[in-house]
Amino acid sequence: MALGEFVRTDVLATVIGLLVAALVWQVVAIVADATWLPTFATIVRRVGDLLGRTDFRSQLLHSIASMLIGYALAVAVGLAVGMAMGMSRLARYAFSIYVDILLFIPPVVVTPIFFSIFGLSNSSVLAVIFIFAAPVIASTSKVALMTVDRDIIDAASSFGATRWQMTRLVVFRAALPMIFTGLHLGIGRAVKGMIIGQLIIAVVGIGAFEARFEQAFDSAGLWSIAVLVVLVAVVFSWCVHFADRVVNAWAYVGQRQ
Amino acid sequence: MSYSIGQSRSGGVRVGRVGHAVLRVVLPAAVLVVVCLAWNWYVGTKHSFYLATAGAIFRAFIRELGDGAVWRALWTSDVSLLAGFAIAVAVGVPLGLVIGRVKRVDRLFAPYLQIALVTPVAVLMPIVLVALGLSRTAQIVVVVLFALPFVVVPTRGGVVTIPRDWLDMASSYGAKELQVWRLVLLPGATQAIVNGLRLGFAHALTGEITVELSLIAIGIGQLIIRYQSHYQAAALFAFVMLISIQSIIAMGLLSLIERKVRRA
Amino acid sequence: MSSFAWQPNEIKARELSTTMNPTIEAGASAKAGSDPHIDVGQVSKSFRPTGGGRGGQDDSRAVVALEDTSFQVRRGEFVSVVGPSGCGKTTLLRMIAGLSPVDTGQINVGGKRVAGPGPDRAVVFQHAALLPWASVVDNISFGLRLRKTPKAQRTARARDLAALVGLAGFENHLPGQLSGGMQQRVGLARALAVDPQILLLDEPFGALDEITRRQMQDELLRIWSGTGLTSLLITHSVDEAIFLSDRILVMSGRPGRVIEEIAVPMGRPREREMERTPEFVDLREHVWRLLSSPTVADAHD
Repeated sequence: MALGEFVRTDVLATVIGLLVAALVWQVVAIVADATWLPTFATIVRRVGDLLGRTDFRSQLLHSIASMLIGYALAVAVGLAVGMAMGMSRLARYAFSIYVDILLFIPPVVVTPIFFSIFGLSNSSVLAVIFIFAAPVIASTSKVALMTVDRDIIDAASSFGATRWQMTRLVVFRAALPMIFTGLHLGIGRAVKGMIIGQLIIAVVGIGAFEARFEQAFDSAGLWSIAVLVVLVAVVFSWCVHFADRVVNAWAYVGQRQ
Repeated sequence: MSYSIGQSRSGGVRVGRVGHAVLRVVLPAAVLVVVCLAWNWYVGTKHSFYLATAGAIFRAFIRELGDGAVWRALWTSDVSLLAGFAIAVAVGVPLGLVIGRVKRVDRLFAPYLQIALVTPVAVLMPIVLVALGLSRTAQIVVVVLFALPFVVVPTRGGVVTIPRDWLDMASSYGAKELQVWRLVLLPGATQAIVNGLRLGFAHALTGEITVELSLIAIGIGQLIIRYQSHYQAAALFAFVMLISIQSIIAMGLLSLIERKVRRA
Repeated sequence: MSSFAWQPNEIKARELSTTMNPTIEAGASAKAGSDPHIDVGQVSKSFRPTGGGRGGQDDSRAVVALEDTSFQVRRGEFVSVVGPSGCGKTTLLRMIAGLSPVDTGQINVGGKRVAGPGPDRAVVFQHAALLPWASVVDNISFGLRLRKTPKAQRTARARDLAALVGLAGFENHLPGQLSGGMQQRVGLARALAVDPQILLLDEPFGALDEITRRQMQDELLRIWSGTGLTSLLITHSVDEAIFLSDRILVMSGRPGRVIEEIAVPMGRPREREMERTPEFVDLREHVWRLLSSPTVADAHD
């Protein structure tokens, strides 16, 4: 089935790509011999070290947990607002302009505001993650609902679908693939929000470690954090992609990798 | 959007038209008013030096419009932004074109572009800082890093999605590589390239603001730190609004340009 | 994929038809006399160019899709509407189906005024309009599901109909895995599943290639003759209209109106050899002449 194919080829290709990258990095680092570019081997060792420390592990888990909660909130609110806008003209009039503004400005701009409201705490980071991910989810959901194929709406209408039946059986299912696109985009933004939020607010989570590493000029440590974050981002991205292929298998019939 | 199957034939059509135009203004305004009221209520319950009422923020905003220091801070940051963006475009567009055109190069770069799109460049910021110190150069490098993937990928997309038919047609007329570029690839990819410019700028903006707020505060970052340490909450909020408005105007202009290009 | 993998099952069709329409004899063609089944009376409709569809005939920029159109369809009759693009035929069908309101005039079905879609009418769409995430069986039983028919019942019914339209063995396929012709069969089966009294077909074969098109026309005849449903078919193709119907309505466009009603002088069951008879050829000539006349030709898109 399409599922098996996806897992095999995509994972394999990425793993090979990363292995090649590691090799190239190692060579370049040895040749360049710069203090700020440690060899890949050094970084791997450092990552191992860090993961061995309980305080780092708990910080990492803390960051990931924040991200998931912030993302879940963004999904809940983003979907609610987006679907409302997609189905009701009034909701669209009321909220579109604000969602568009939020899409236009770099979300990072509101971080000082959250800092003021929530202070130096995890809630600030959550709020930043939320503001990064929610607008794109809302916007995509809106478009998803508005661009449902009119033909199948007509067909359902002609068979006497009530408004509730239409929404439940036809509109939502048809809009799901695009909604998932929004969720996927949202994940990328949530991870960015996590990092940026923590970097700026720099008290709890990975941000604290980064600040410390900076002062000590420990570039291997910094790179280690970077590598770990990249891995986290890629894994989460795969999760959403995977969920998409399962829920919306019908939309990928006839496509090949 | 109503999925109902019929509309009544009432003569309410004309009223409906005007009614909708009114609603378009009234509803968002109502949302704004509700948010401001809720905000003021929240500020009232918190008694914090870090918060200010909507009214105070508005007044601070008006004051700042006339404050030279504010505009100087904005301009200082904008210089890094524009320089970084220019470099990202100068490097990114040719790179994207080559990646899109030459399959071997494409296969080489593909996984990294994917990863670059998904992962936050912000993690690389401290590394840049360690390498280049607290300098404007470091700032510009950060901006370039933020913007580059989002210039390269749409540019590549523009080249890759040119219909095979066009290329076949060109080669059947014996067009040389340079001619193919001039007559088919560049015109065909223009819209995607402009789209990439818009996306790249949006990310450059993010990069610039992020670096100012977190590591290297030479422009808006400095002013924000000053407001925060002096407990000038209203001024801080108003300044954030000002930065946002600048972003909106800049992005709006780019969107307009993009739409014009689409029509051409 | 050959669409002739099925074996014709006339008996099955007849059985299904009596359960569907006990009052109509299988294989009946036009039943003379009594009230018309579909009665279109002086119907007009205009559209605003921005895609409003809210009427406003005093708006000079409005497009008049239909003007003062009247005709009737008797029970059990198969009527085709032929005309150029933009002559309002699809609009007409949508109004009879209850998907769009009329501006002036009225449409009665079975003596009652049309106010919306109803269980007595079923539509077959040009582009099948199947739910892409649902299997063939789920698509066929969609109308029944809306009516809250129990699952076992509607699944059994859907399977029977799948066999009837020649899709036995494809019950669990998704629309994306089917050819255009097969999708249209599903659309037809879906329409039949709800026991309608009237079948409305909106250029059902317009999106198919010529070969599949002809196969589907034969299919439609085979299935229809077993049911005797009142049918209204919209088409571009003069040959198709003549081959399938008892009567043809020729329409002109902008403003859309019926310019002539012609009875098809051929008996049933129809055979492909009839396409070479003088009656067929003359009728085709006649209709073409009507369609190419200056007023009609100008109205073409």
